[in-house]
Amino acid sequence: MLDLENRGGGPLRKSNLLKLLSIIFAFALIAAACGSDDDDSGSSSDSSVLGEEEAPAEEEASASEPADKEEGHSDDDGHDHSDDEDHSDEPAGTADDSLNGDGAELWESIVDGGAVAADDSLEPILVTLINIEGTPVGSFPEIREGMEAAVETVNNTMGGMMGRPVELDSCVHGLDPNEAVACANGVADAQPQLHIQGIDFFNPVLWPTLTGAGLAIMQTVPIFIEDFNTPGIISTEGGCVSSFPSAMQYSVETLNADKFVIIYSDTGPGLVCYQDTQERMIQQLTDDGAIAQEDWIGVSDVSGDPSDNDAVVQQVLEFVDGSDNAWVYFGIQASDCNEILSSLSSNGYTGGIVASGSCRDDSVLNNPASAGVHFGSACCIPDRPDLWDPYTAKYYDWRNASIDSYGPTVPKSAFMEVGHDVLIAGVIHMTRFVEAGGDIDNDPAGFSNFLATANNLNRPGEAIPLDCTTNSSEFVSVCQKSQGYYVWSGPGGQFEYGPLADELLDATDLILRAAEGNPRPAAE
Amino acid sequence: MEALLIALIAGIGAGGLYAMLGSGIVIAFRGSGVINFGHGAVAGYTAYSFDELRETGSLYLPWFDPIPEFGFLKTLKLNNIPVRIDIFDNVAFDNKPNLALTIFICLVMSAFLGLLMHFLVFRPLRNSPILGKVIGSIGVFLYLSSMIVVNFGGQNRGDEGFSGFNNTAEPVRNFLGLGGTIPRSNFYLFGAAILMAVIIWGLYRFTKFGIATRAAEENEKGAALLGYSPQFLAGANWVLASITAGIAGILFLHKTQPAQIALFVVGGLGAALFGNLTSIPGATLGGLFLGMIAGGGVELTTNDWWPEILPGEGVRNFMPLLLIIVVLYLRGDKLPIRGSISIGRQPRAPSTNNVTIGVIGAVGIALMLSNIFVSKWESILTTTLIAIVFMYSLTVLVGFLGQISLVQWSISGLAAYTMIRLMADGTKIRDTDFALNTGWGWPTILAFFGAIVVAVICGLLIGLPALRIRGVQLAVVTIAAVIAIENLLLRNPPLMGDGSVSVNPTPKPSWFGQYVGGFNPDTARNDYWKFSLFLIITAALLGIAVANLRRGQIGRRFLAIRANERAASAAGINVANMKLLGFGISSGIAAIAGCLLAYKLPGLQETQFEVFGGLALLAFVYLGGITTIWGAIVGGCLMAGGLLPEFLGVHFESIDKGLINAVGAIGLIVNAKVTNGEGIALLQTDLVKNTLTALRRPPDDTANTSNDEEAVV
Repeated sequence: MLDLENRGGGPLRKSNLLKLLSIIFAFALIAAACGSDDDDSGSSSDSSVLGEEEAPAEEEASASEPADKEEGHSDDDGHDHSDDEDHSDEPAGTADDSLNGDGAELWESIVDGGAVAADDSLEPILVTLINIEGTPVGSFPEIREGMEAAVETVNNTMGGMMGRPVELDSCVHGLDPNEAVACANGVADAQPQLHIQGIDFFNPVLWPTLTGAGLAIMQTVPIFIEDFNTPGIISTEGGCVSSFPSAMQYSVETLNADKFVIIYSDTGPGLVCYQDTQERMIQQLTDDGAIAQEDWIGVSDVSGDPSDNDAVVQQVLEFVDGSDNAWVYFGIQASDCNEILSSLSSNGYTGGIVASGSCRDDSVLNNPASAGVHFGSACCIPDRPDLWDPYTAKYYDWRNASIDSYGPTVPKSAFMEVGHDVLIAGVIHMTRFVEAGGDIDNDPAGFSNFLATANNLNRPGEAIPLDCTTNSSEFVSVCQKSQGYYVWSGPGGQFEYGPLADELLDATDLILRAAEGNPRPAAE
Repeated sequence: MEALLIALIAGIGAGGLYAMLGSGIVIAFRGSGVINFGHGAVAGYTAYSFDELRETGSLYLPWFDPIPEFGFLKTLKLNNIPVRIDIFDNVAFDNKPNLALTIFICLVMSAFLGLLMHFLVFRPLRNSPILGKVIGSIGVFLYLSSMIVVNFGGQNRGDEGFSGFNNTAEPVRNFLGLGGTIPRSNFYLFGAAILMAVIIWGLYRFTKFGIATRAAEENEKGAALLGYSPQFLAGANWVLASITAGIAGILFLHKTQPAQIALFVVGGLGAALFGNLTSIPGATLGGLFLGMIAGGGVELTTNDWWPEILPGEGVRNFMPLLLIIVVLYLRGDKLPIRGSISIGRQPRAPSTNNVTIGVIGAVGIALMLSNIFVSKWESILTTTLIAIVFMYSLTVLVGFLGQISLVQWSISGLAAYTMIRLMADGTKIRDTDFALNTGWGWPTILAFFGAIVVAVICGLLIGLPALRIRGVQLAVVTIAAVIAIENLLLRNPPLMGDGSVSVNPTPKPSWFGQYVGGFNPDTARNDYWKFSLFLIITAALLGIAVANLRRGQIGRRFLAIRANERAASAAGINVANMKLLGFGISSGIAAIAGCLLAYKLPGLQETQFEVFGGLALLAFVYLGGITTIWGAIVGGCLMAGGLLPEFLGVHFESIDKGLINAVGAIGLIVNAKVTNGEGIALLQTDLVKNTLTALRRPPDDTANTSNDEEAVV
């Protein structure tokens, strides 16, 4: 029984409640008067460009046309390019499998063939996704949103996967491995034609279930060593294996650093990545005589803790003191890159900085200290469509139109584009597999093997093909091993070519040499 | 030596943040008697607001549209509750909004957050027991952290700063002839902290408002009789505290991500305790001291002679704990327990009757579900059961004994890691494992009990401060211990093996020749039936044990201590022994939960046992009912990844996870007020009993019935 008197109900309480409500109401009125709600934020989408609904079939609108030129588009960093060159009037036939990898021409032929919807009467192709979302320490809904946009585009404009609609079944979870494991069980039960692993802090716990269930698996962003060395998984994104060995090579051999400092994250994955993909690689270069043992060190930074940054930088300054050509490499995540970059600047560091692609986000690029930093990029020079090859430019325009039309009404992000592209890669390569006589419904191992044995694999939008046959036995799942390095001019500026110009640095040879000369401690 | 001194001095930058946060925590405590665990989150939210205004010109109000864009609701377009205000137009990289106006707007937002906390959380909880207030502040922390994710997203932020608070100014070189460099902004942060301390100190020392606050702090009833409204003073102090948090967030933003600022609350708490929770200058000094230790610690622990068994990061994180414990131990009895006009009753802790019938019923249901469920749901069932086992430990320690410990989940982690280390023999366990652990190769059962012993010892050590301190101070010690355990003990390769810094592979457990791990090697699913059975039996036995503990002499003594330690002591109860016993029992149960979790998963990561996980588990058992076995069962079913949310997730999968967390935090706060910690379990029991009583009552019987079947303590 409720006893209002005993609970302090009364005129005074009501009066205070009214005061509170009036305060909130006043705020709400101010908000309503001054602003807008979430609904009308972001760009409007124009689905007609990709041929759905408003676009009559006879219009045969080109799928390569940007969705909304007034809105501009963003590249893989999410930067707006409303003033950039318009590629929509370029001639068709930009893709060349011999240059861009097998699958590029297939993609182009589909999107140039006009908007075709999938046949809903056919059995759908099931694609599953496990992704971490909604946690204070990491949330990546953009991966899922990008994939959802890609699925819509595939089903509404690309005729599905050879006519069959693609169905995406996402399992998102929070910061609890139990939830993640339940997702993996669900995926294993569902037996999809393709599983795409999103960004997940619990991947190593999930692989026994996912690989044990015999699924065909592609990754979005590999993080852990287990993501790199687990057989049966294909990564068209490189992660540490793409970034770090090439960065060691670039800093030592191309930039000729006389003092070289590697700053790595003190998190679990960061530490293991450092030991496995940086320390072993630079030790190999040391053994090869490219740099002296005493001329490089690794310095750990506590991720997300700015209280140690100045002390970390003190170690750096102490080490590079007296150097003529000192370089610091950031093998850390973007949030830490920004903090260390700021700390280096505020402590008066004047040497050079090389940073992995994971450091390249708006927060870092808008930092005044970012001017002159050499950033790694797997694809091409970022934000410079004027320097891209026609295939890359055409794909990026098409991809942006796809996300504009079917993505969420929030700014595009790099992760959204990664999610989108991995799904497109999955659909394209499943199509190729079927065209080659494969059975996508009953032979997941065959499809995995099809990818793993490809030596000329197209990664959507990337001009240079991937070669999965040269994967080191230590990094068996990673096909992406090349990086280019480009110089950022500073906030509000643009990327310029560095010493490598438009060449990519292929670290395959170094990785293979390290496997011989400085192998990973062998498992018993 | 010079390098160490420079690192120590450079620490005044982070120390400035700790000092400002500590000052704010002191202000809130003086005003309302609440230690606000959400204080850092207020700083973080304000910092995000500042960055958002500077980058986009928009301000996000600290709430969300409660009507989800879901199903037919989406078509109705009802979601028109304003969340975003577009304040500045045409914001661009080279056209940033006016700085002073931006800061002013953000501080108004901070003040608004303070008002909301006062009116919606802490004022309604003003007469609640201390646990209720702690839960309220945890609710604030969880809510604001969720709103940061919902409103500002997961993208990294970087702000170049302004005036002296930036990274582009020329560093101070060769300070005091020590060589090296120190960022100039560190001195600005130091100056800001000192200036803030002086202003606040002056405010409390010389103004009528400050004197009235101090009067209310000493004696709320007396202040009321003098004509001061304690609630007005509390509200004003919440506003002031929030503004200081906002200032701290904005000034420190050039050094970090706004999301990180929320986590600095531990350093802020250490600083506040250094100031005895009453002294602003003391809190400021404590904060600066902590910052300097953090900076100097890096320099010290990276020397070659530093022992590998003491991870540098762990030692740095242990410093706030050490400082807190020393201060509390030396001054524990002098720490103020701020009173209020009246304190509400403790939540009821009725003994459970008919335990056997209940257990048989629960086991039956669990077995039935286990047989019905496919692998995904089997995994969810085992998650729920492990959570229930863990929640028993909180039932004993927090529910029965009244000791607010936030470290129990870390003790689970410690036990799990210890067990893995004891079992490991250096062989690769699964094909996908990367790390290899060496260990002693103990048999499963021996390692299981060895881990429990280690956990109990650790629990007793953490319980020692509880002999001198209680209530919210103990909560502060234990939250600092969470971070220290994670970094000093779990992430320690010499102590816990190579896997401890990444993914720690669990050796395959075998009891009496039977494999009882969660991973089914035949199907590759995490649904092995023998593990489920093992877990059901364990949960049932522990449930019976905890129920009997409550019914027995020990349980009654626990409740007596919870109600009034002095009265219990006068009644002949050895309070110290009983407290340590409670910590020991609770740690043992938590250790079992940790070992079971290790059995379930192919590998563990230390991030699983960080502060968020423990707070969430406490929150859910509080929601279920912290004082009963049934409450633990309800809490286990409610927690994220448990049966109920997963069931709802099937039907509401399009709803943002961040929103679900925010709603959960609101539920926690409401529960603290409405059920006083008795949770859904007792609410449900009361409802059933009242209904049954009403049905049994003759129609003409108008006499009031009382719900006096249960022992109310």
